[in-house]
Amino acid sequence: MKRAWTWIDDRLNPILVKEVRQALRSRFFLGTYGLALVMATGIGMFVLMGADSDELGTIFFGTVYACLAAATMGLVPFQAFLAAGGGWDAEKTNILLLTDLRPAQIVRGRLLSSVTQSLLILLALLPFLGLAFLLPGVDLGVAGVVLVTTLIFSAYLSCLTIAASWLTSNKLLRVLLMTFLGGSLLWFTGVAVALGIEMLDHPDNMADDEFWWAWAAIVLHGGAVAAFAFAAACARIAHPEENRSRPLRLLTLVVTAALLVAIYVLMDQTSSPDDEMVVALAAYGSLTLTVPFAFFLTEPERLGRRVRIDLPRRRLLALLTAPLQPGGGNGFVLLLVTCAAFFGVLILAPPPNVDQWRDEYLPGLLTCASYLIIAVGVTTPFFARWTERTPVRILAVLSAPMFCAAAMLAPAFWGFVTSDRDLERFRHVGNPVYTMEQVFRGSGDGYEPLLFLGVITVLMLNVPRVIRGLRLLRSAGASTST
Amino acid sequence: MSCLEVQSITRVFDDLKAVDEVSFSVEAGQICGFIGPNGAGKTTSMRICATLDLPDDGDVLVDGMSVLSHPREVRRRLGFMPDYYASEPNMPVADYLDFHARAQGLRGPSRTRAIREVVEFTGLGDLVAKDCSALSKGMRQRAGLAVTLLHDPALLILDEPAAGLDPRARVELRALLSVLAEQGKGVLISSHILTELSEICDVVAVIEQGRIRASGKVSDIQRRLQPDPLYFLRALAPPDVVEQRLLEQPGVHAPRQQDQGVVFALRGQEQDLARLVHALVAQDLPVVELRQLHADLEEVFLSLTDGKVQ
Repeated sequence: MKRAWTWIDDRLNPILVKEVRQALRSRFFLGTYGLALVMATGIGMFVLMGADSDELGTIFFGTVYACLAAATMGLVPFQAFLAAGGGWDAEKTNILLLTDLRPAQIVRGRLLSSVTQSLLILLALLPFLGLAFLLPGVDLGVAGVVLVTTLIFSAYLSCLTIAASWLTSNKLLRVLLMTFLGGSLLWFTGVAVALGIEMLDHPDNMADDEFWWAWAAIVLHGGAVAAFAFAAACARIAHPEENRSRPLRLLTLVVTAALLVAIYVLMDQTSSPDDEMVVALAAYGSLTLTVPFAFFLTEPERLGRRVRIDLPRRRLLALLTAPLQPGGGNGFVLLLVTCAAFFGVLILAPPPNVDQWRDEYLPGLLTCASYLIIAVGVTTPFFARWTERTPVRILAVLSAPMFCAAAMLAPAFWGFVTSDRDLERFRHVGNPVYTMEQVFRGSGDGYEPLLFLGVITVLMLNVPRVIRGLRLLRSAGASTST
Repeated sequence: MSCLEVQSITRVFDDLKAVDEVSFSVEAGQICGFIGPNGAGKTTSMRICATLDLPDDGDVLVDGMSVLSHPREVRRRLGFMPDYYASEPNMPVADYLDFHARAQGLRGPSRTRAIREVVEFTGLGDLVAKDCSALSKGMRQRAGLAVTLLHDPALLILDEPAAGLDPRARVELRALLSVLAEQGKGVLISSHILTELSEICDVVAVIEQGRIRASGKVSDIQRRLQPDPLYFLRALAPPDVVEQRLLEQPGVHAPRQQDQGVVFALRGQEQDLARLVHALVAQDLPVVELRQLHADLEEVFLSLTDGKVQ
């Protein structure tokens, strides 16, 4: 038994061990823990005394759940933000990087520590939750789903706050970020409590398949966002001369593959899939992917010394790794490779049983990809030479949504001036949602040439930096081999 | 093989060349003092040696491993003690050491043994239960040193370890470093307190404006700066008369008055010194004190640098 414990103890993440030890001694955690207990007891008693007997269990559980959600989705992620950010002040991150720990281990340790704190709080509230099950009106299954979802989202939120804490070391920006996160966590907790109580009030919903599809979609999407936050946090503390972009790029490929799988699953459900679901998934997927690609396409066009050392010695192999190497040019290559792979798979293995696949869905998905390419590829090449400077890079990243907003608003404004009702109501090619709907319904013929022209223009604009990026790789690969 | 080999490293920040083709080496069992005025490039060079920064050009080898291509292997071979202390609230010294031992990949009995050894070596025994944030400056430095020693590194890089320490703590730190050097570890240490360094360093590297001005043994550097030995002579006569008489003697040059006497350089061997004394006495100059002046780190530093910062 002792040997087994030693074996486990040796393999525990050092950051987890340290942070849990510190948290258990900290006033913040003890305060949160105690407050959750006192509130749960006090409010629970109050509810027990005054509530209608039929709904007693639901109200009691809802009250205790509100305390739990506030602690696990509000205070624990906020504490993760403070703990991770504390590293900036005393350069603790540097000291950690001098150890045998990799950036991913450091971030994982912080995340695991938050999860452990949430579990401890849940354990403290378990007797109250147990009491709620004894009262009338509480469905065990629903309560289980609510609690599991809360813990999952507590971990997701901690991931986001840890990533946010490493965004900047500037004190003023950190205070602003802290305020924003505090407000956001409060809002999120409120939404979670409302949803939890709604689920408790309507336990029949769980019998519906759509409930589980929606649950899975939300949990998976939250997981993807948390994974990006995790990878971004790792990249932030990795050495600037290393390839900090590679994990994020690989994750983007994984998310794209997941999107592809989701489309297959959706189409495999029936021979006549729900149009709106496919449109929504494709549109939302391409919109989500705009964020990482906006970052990849604005990366400085240089290869760090450690990146150059890690390159394959053969020039051809070095060039083949381009999509996973840092730099805006290589980011554009990744975008093209991702799109090519996505459509390659769809064309070579089209979803079975879907008659209108080639006529409706393929053009629709191509439209989504075109919007993605245009959104991130039009403005970013103009900043390529100066993205080494942080303010220019921020401007370059922001230029993508600004361009999209302008493409939507400018025709609408023109429509307002010229009294063109269609333009005024955003029925134009600058509005991707409208265009996608049209294309999926098979009535978007007028837009397809315009989008094609847009994509060609983006390709032309990005050719110089792609060539520059490939040249850099070729020369770096050659220098490595010598 | 050198424990640390800095090979012509350059580091540029925007338009500022913080480190400019810096090269020097530290052998195993050697203590190397890294000295220079504020802003000379000491900390940047040390951060590069510790893998926290990368040179734009050149390389650093730690125990034969490059900081460019094998940073993890380098980190396993070095212990870096920065000039700041990362205070950990709500954490006793024992937990602090345990955390760093785990972070260094030490497991089971080897972790327990490593912690016990460094606690014993640094004299932290009575303080293991005390909270890290409640330690005095001297004790924090000891805790920092204990952390750097946990994984038994071949090279120690210490950035201003004596800053802010009281005289007793300094003496104790000096003694610890000497023991570590005797154990065969290479030590690179930066400090502003030159007398401190002169007592423990085998070699020094003097840096100013990002460039190495001189490196090697203090006596060798002094010899390079002043090839002829320096002497101090005091006689029962006014110093300007003594200086005049000295200048009349063959081989004497660069005399200057100091402390009621004259410091001068003499070209030649001991016989020439004997001849000089004989000549002065023969001229009825009542000589009461004559001694050779030995190299002093402070003098070497002052003669090599002019206090410019970048």
